[in-house]
Amino acid sequence: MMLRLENVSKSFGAVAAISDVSFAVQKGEVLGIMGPNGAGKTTLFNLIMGEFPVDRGTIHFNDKPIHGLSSHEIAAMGLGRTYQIPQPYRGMTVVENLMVGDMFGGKHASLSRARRRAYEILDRVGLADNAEKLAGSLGLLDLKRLELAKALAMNPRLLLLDEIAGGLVENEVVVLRDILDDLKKEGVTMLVIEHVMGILFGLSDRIVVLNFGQLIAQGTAKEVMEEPQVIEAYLGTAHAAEDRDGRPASGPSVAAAMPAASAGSGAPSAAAGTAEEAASAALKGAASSGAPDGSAASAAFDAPTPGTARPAASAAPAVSAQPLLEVVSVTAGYDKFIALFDVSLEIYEGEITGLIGVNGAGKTSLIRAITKGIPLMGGAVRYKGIDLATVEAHKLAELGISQSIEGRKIFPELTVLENLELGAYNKRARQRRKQTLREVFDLFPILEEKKNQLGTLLSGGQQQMLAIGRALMSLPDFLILDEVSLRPGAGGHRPAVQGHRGDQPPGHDDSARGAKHPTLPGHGAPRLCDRTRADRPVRQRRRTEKQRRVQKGVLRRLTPSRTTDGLRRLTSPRTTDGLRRLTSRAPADRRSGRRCRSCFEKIATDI
Amino acid sequence: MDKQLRQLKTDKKAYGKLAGLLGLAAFLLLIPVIGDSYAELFFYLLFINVALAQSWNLLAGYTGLISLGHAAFFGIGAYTTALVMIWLKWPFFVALILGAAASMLFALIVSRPIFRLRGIYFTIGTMVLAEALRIWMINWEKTGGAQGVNLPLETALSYTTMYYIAFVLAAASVITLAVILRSKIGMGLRAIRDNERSARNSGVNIYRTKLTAFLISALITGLAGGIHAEYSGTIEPYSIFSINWTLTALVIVIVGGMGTITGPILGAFIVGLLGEFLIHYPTIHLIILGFILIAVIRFFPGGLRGALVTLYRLLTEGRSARKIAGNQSGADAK
Repeated sequence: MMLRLENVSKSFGAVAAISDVSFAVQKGEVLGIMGPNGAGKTTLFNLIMGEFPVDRGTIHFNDKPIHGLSSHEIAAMGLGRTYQIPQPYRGMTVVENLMVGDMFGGKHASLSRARRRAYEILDRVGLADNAEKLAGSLGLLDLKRLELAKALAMNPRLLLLDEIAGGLVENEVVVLRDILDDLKKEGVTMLVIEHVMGILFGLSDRIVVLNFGQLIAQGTAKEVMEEPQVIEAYLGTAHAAEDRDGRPASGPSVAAAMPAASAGSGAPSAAAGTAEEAASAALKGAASSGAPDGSAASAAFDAPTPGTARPAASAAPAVSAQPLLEVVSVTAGYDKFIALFDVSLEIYEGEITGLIGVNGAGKTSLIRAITKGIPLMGGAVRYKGIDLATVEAHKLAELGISQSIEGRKIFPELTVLENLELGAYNKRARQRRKQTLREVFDLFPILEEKKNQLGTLLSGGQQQMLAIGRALMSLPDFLILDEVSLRPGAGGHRPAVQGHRGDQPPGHDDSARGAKHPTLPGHGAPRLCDRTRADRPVRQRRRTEKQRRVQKGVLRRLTPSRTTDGLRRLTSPRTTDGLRRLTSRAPADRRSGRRCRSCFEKIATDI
Repeated sequence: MDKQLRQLKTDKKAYGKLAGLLGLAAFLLLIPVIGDSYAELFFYLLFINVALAQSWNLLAGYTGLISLGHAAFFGIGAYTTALVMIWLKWPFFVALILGAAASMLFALIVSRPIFRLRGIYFTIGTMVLAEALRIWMINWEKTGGAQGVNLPLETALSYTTMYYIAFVLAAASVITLAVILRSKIGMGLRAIRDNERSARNSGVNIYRTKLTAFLISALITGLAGGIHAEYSGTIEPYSIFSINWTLTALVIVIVGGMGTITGPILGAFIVGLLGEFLIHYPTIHLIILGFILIAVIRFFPGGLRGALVTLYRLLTEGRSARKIAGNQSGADAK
């Protein structure tokens, strides 16, 4: 037994990040770890590597206990890891980046030998040409390669890979996949966290699935995919039983469309039935798809789903013609990394729009682009007809845009009450502060109870309530919720949000809200959405055609799927070559008018 | 073939550098012979500053630890050297070594708590430490309090001897740094500077590696303090523990180029010259120094050395571009 975890638990404050997890990795085995956002996958790696101590439980490496050792001792025992966000030594050359690992974690103390070996590894991962460049000057793919190379340089007996393919486009994933396959053939033991299912399923001998810090399944890819708990974790349940409107569970139909890649033939396979059936079909398809195949995957596929297609024309009268928010061909990103490419969408007053997509798809980036968190490289955002380029960021609240940022971001040094009051900072909201506060407290009674506590002393879910409450305090016409349900214990706010929605505070307009949902919609929020944007990050933008109207008291539920194809990320034109690729491909993609490849939908029958 | 060529080129470059350094060393060694006492004083101070700057650079430029407490090491080195000579009547060199040892011991004692502080807190922590020590020394009667102490005059070494000793220290500090940077420790230091978390997971023992740098830095600074005590003949806490020593080192390193070996040498020269030109206008001197510092940080993050390197590249770019093009066509022809 190479690595053995027994009953490992770890909490951060009131949030249990890992609870009672046990599993083992055999020598030569590749163990995949999957789970939704916030499931505790990276925390698990941090615990194994000794970045922080375990609360309970034991971790053994080659039958020696390693919990309680410091990170460098663990590394020197032969555990090499990569980071989800590359952590290079920016001021050192690429080859020096590797030499550090070899000289401290590996076996070579001499510089020249370490350098020679570093070059061998660089050759292998395709970085040899950049060996003498500063690591800080590399683009994302090269940084990912460097991340792997750094770990390999330590000559590890166990390799921990954290989303090594995250953020890469298909041909880059293929390159990486080849490297990993070679490593596997050589018998390197690996522990792999991956959202690119093609890599995870293709590489892993076994898979463990985490959700909310708990191990919910383990076995082969096929086995775990049939596990109802896994399907639930990833796709949510039908929630028929808890439907407040008492609509029958059997009524709505769900269509699952599998991307061409998984069918292998270029033809879409579709499944229809209840949400569970569709979800399970989708996951199975993903499991069998293996390596993502660029050509097959890019075959156009428009989800022709029985029972779901409702023309947008059947508009309810409540909706005005003028969209509240218009995002027009927005391109935006961060320096080298373009996160959004030509994204357009409209949000109408009174509507709830869900935004879904895998990690790194660009969901938060889109929100940042709307709220001026990142500069636009192209396109425009109009809100109530006003071009937001002309509005300063801090004036957005006055216009009625409010957001609950991912990760809550409450003010730690302020009390709950102060946090909420700061939400009503703009002039309009300040005048109505008392009433709004009352409404927020009615919505989240726990906040009133704890109003004089420091914000950080709340549990994760309560902090989330506070973040939502603070966003509501500014009297938004347009509310943006980013990952409202990310943390355990957050389930409680779903009814609250619903409640808020059904019961508009008097005196202000019916709100339009964008709810950005975590990758995996199982946790709650997307059921709120009138329409869901599967934020497929790839160059072509897609649009869920199902525009739906809200009627009072009726919430439609969309259960979007996760597909191998959806897992392909938008990446940057990080090299001139990439830029060329990007520019030449994008128009073609748009011409083909590809749609959302796969979207499970569940629509109330009574509309 | 290509590898050999590359090796040859690096060798050539290294030899050129070596020749330049030897020439400079020869010139500096001849100063007391060909120059006057003014030149001797100027270069003596330059050597002390180079040593201080290199020791500060080891921490700030290579380990990412910005210290404002180097005056403490300097003062401890100076006082220990002086007191050993006065109380025990031991010869200067023994006292100097004890002074450096005391400085390192101090570094070792404060390392545990001070390394718990990160970033700006480390900086403030070191500054507070040095200031506290200064105030303690001002008030401690045993070491002469604010008046300080006088070193034995009868065994005093000549200024010229001190000049050479300071030269050796400066040269040794440069060589020490160069050697460290080409060793495993240097690799670890730079890794810590760039990404402590990643370094830890690559097997770098953060505490031990930082401590090594801290001790070496304290050693060099302590030696500089001891030498300066002997050179001055009399020391008192106000000037010896003054934060100015630290600030001078900081300015020199930033102006010259942080995280490089030649940068601080260049910086010491520029800052020294500036000080001499403006010696009659002490206020303006500081203002100008401040402006230069801001300008360098704003426009030349790599310091003067970085600026010169960029300039050199710009001037030779055309040539090398042609060269690359030539190689390319040669390869194509093959």
